Amino acid sequence: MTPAMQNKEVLMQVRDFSLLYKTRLGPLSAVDHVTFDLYKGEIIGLVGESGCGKSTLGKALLRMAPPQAELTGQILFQGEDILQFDDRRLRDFRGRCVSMIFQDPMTSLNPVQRVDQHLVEAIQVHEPHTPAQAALERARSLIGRLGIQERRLRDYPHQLSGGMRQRVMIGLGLVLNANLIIADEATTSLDVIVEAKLLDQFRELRDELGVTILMITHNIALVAEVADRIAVMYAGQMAELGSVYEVFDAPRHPYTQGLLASVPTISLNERTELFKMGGEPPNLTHPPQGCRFHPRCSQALPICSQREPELRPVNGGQLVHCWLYQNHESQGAS
Amino acid sequence: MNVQPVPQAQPADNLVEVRDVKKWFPVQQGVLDKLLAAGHQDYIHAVDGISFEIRRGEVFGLAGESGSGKSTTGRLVVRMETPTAGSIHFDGADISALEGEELRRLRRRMQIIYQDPMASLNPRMALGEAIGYGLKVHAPELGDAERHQRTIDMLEKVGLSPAQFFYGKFPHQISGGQRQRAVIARALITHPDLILADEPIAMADVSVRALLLDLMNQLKREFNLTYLFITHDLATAKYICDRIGIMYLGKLVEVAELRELYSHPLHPYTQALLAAVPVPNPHQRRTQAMPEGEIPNPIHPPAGCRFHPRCPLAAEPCAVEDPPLRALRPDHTVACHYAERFL
Repeated sequence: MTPAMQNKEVLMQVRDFSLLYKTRLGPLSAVDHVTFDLYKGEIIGLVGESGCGKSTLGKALLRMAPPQAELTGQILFQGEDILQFDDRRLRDFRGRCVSMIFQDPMTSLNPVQRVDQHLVEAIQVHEPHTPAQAALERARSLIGRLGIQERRLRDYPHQLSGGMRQRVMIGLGLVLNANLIIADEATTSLDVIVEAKLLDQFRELRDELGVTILMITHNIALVAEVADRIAVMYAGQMAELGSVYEVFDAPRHPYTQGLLASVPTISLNERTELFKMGGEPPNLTHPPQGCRFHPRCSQALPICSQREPELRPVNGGQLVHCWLYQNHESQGAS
Repeated sequence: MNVQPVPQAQPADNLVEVRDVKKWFPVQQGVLDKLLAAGHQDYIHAVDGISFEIRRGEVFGLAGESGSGKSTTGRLVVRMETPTAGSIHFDGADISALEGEELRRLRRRMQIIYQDPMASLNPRMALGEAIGYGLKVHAPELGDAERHQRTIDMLEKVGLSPAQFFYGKFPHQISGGQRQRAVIARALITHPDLILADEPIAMADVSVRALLLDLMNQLKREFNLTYLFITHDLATAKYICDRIGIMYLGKLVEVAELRELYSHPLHPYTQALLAAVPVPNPHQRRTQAMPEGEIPNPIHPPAGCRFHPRCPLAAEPCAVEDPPLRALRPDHTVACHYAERFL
C-alpha cells in the first residue's frame, strides 16, 4: 500500500452524481449515479472505453459541463459543493484548486504567447496584486522542477516538443498551487518514451508536492504503471473501484476482467491471443434495464436484466457494481 | 554505409526488397527566405538510407516514434512516394521509378489500411459502393451483378454480416470497429499481395482492437497476404508481426524476428523503447530511467549515429561514424557500434 492509501484524507467527494445531456433523441445518461472519493496525494486512474463517460465526469469535476447538461447530486471539494458555486467562486476554484490537462497541448496553449507570458498571466489573473517580476520568479522556479530549461521560458508553444508542451500545461496548474490535476488523456498523443517520462513527473508531483492526480485514460497499462487506485467506468456507471493491486490482481466485475484480458502486453511468455469481448457499449439514450453491462456479460444472472446492482465492497476489498457479489435472492423476492 | 549490390535474380521468397532508399522532402521557404538563402535548400531527411526485405506471406512490422520515418517508408514501399535515392523491388521487378499506367496497375496488388476509418471512407458513399469501387477501377470487365456479388462476399468475410444490411449503410451509421472492417474489405476486394497497414488499430478501443487483430490474422491466412504493419505500439505488434524493424530518425536501427527482438534487444534505443511500454501489472513497474530529450529535428540530424546524443553508451566513434546494420545473431541485425555488449 502506498502512503496515500493509509492516511485517507479526502480531497473531493462525488456523491450520487448524474449528468444528463438533453439531445434530439431524448435524454442521454452520460454519467449515472456515480459516487466516489478522491484522496489527497494520490494518483487515481479513471479508465473505460470511448463513450463510457470518463471525460464527461472529469470535466464535471471542474463544472465544465455544456449548458444543455443537467447535473444532479453533489461534488464536494473540501466540504463545499461546487455545483452551488457562483461564477466568481467557480473561477477561483478552477484556477487555484483544480486544473485540467487535455490530450492536445497545442490547442490548449496560446500560439502567440510565450511560455512565461502564459504562466505570468495565470498568476496575475488569480492574484491580481502580484507584481510581474515576482510572478516571473515563480514561473522560473517551477519550470525548472518540471524538467524544462529556463531559457525555454522565452519560447513559443510551437518551438517546444510535445512532451514539453504538456509540462507547460502542468505548470499552468501548479503555478497557482492547485492541489488537484485532472489529466484527460494527457499522454495519449506522446511517444512511449516521452510518455514514460511524463508518468515519472506525475509520480514526483504526488510524492513531493502532495498533488492529487486524476488520470483519465483508455490505456489501462498506464494506470498499472503509475496509479494508486483505479476506477473502471462502463456506460456512465462506476463498474469497479479499488487499489491497483486489488483490481489488477483479482478483477471482480466481468467487464474489468474482459478489459484486462484484452490489453496487449510485450511479455513473451503470455498468451499469444487477446481476449475478445463480444458486443459493443450501449446507446446511452436507451441504456439497458438493470445492470448496463448485462447484454455483453457472460456471467449474467436473471436479476441482472431487471434490477441494478449497487457499488459495494467485495470481501473487504474493491468496490464492485455487480450482482455476482451481492445477495440477489432477497432482492429478487422483495 | 551498408551498400549491397542488388542481386540479379531476386530470391523468390522476398515480396519486397528495399535497398538504400532515401526520401528527402524539401523544406518550404517563403520568398524572403529564398532570396536570403541564395540557392541553399534544406531537406527533411525523412528516410535516410534504409534496406530491408519483406518475405512473402509474413507480417513485417515497422515501429518507432513519431518522426522516425516509418510512415514515409510505408508510403515508399507502395509507391505513394518516389524515392529520392535507392531502389524498391516488388515481386522481382524494380518499381522505384514506375509512373502512370504501369504504376496504376501495380496498385491493384498493394492496398492500404489507415488509422482513421472515418477519414478513409467517403461519407457520402454507401459501404457497398465504396468497397466495390476498387473493382470498378481495377477490374472494369466485371459486370454489375458480379461486382455486387463479390462485394457481398467480402462484407461477409470481414464480419459485416448480414452483408445485405451493411451494403447500403453509410459510414456514420456504423461503429468505429465496423468502419475499420469496411476499410479492410475495400483493401482486399482487388485481391492484393501486399497490405500496408499504417496504425490500423491505433484508434480502436481495447475490446475492438483484439477483434480487428484477429480478423487481420485470419484474412492473411485466407488470402495469402503479406502485411507491412506500421505501429508505434510494440505491445500490439506482438500479436501480429513475424519480423519487426525499429526505426529512429530515418534509419533502421534493428531488424529481427519479433520474439528474438523482444527477448534480445541489442540496440540501446530498442531497449529504451521496450522498457517504456507500460505493463498492465502494478507489481512490474518500470524502474529503468528513460533516455534524455526527444527525437531531434530531421532537417539537421545528428552526425554519426543518430541516437548518440541521447544514448547512455555513446562514445567518440558514435558522433563521427554512422554504424551500419550488422548481423550479430541469427536473422538479427543491429546498427550500433557497441551492440556486442548485449550479446
